[in-house]
Amino acid sequence: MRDYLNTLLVLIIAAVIIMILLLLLTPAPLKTLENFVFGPFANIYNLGNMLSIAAVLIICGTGMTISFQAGLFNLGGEGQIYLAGTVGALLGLILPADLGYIGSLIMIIAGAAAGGATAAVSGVLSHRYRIHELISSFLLSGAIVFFIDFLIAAPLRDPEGFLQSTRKIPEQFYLPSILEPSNLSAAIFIAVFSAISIALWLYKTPGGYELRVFGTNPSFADFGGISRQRYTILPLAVSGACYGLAGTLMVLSTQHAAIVGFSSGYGWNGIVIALIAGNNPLMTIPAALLLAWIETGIRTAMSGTSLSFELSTVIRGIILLLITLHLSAGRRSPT
Amino acid sequence: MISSILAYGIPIILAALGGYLTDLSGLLNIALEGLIIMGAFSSFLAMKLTSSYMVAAAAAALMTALISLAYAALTIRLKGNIFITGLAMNLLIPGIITIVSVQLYQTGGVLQLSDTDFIPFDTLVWTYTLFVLSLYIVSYLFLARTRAGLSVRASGLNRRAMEIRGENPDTIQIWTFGYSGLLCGLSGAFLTFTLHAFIPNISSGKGWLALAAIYLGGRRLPGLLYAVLFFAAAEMLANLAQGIFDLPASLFLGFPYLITFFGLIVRARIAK
Repeated sequence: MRDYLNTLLVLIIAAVIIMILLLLLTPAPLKTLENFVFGPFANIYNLGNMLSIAAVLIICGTGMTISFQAGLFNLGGEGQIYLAGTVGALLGLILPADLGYIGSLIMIIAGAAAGGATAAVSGVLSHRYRIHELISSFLLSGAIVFFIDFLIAAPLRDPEGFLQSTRKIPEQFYLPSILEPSNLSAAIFIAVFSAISIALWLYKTPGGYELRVFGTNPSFADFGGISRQRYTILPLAVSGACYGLAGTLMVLSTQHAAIVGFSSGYGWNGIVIALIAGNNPLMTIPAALLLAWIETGIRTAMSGTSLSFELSTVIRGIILLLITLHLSAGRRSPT
Repeated sequence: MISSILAYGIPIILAALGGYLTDLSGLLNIALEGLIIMGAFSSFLAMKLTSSYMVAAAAAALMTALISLAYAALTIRLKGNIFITGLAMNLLIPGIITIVSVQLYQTGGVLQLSDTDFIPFDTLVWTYTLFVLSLYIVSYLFLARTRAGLSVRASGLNRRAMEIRGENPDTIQIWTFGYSGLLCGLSGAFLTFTLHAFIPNISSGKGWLALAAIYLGGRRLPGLLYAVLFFAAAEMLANLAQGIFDLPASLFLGFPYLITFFGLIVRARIAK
């Protein structure tokens, strides 16, 4: 209960800071504040876009809860999303369009596999060579991001488009949309389904139990015969697969192509959501809704100015800065 | 030629020397990237105000040290997770700088220093090189020969022993973070000086490479130097290859990350 109190306190502080910033940065404070709080619910378009952001956040966050529960740090989310989205988009361009949703499914599986495999590499390196997965996942992700930037900007670029992006995938692969004309699609159901099934795995199966034991106390897990190798590689692979899933869904439901830099900043989202959710996969759903509300609020409040991206970054930074601190006195020591 | 290689390595080794000390004290400062950007921006502001390179470097060092000190103190005293708060700094600093930059200069883009404030590239690089070399020697002497250096190492090796001796490892860790911030400030100032401008994402991964250099160097002081030399050599090779095979420059932007990644693996294999 105290944990939730702490999280609530952090979110309130963050909300107050962001409101102060909005008031300082815009000429019409009252209107801005109103747009920030109620804008996301003002019309179907904003509401749908908010839920669409939440869908991606739920998936990223769910993956990170697994990684954090095992005491592992996947810092390569940005590259994993980018790689998966690009793999998905390329498959979408190659596969025959009359495959329909089977094609979408193939893209999703390939994207998740690409993300999972990338993160698993860091798990293997951590287990075999004791290379810190935080450093290795970040470096690998950095290399991937620049390489894909290059691929999309030059060899894979759609020669007829303005944007630096690949050609659009056939419409037959688009996920069914909800609340048109917003970006929302069936991805939201996939997101909720992933969060629930991963929560079931974590709390209701022997594998999930072993993972949590390993995360809490690796030496004890060793005594119990829990495989160190398995629970160093698997959780990272799961978090990578979730980032991959998120990346492919972004392509299938909103962008319909791999656009340069589309994953920029998304690598942090999973971390923020997992921490707000207290590393509980189910709690990522409310956490993601909350952060999506704040982000959509910033976008509606700041429409017409260029700072909405920076403000979203700052709000995530503030949450990250405060969320692990023990703000109220007399709390138990950190895990 | 030599000065351009030096110019590539200087910001990395400065950040790495500070980061190395935090690692020795038991907590790695993962915010190097953001702190370098902070140093670059503070030195830009100070240059605009005073037109003095010395003052700008000092101001950058001071500002960045204070910020690093503050975030470390906050995290350690309130028992937070330093990796998470470090990531937070890497997000917060560039975000806030862009907002401030838009308010002050109506742009979140490139900010030029004025043309009248100019010193030659070589002077800049060699001054910094001398500084880095003496700092390197001082760091060695500090760690190997002084009581304070011993305390830093002991904090990382055995907290309990420190506590029994009546010293507080938390306090020592907080001070190493301040020191690390100071060097990141100087590192960022160097970037602003050599580019004669502040640009967004000016550190472009140098803070992360500095972290990787600590591990690539086997968490030892001489290793640090080898790692940065390795980066500089790799960068040079990439430039050469690009020229010879006429490949697009964008293909090589991720090269430092990739080579570091493989460097870590090769090092680990040899060590095994």
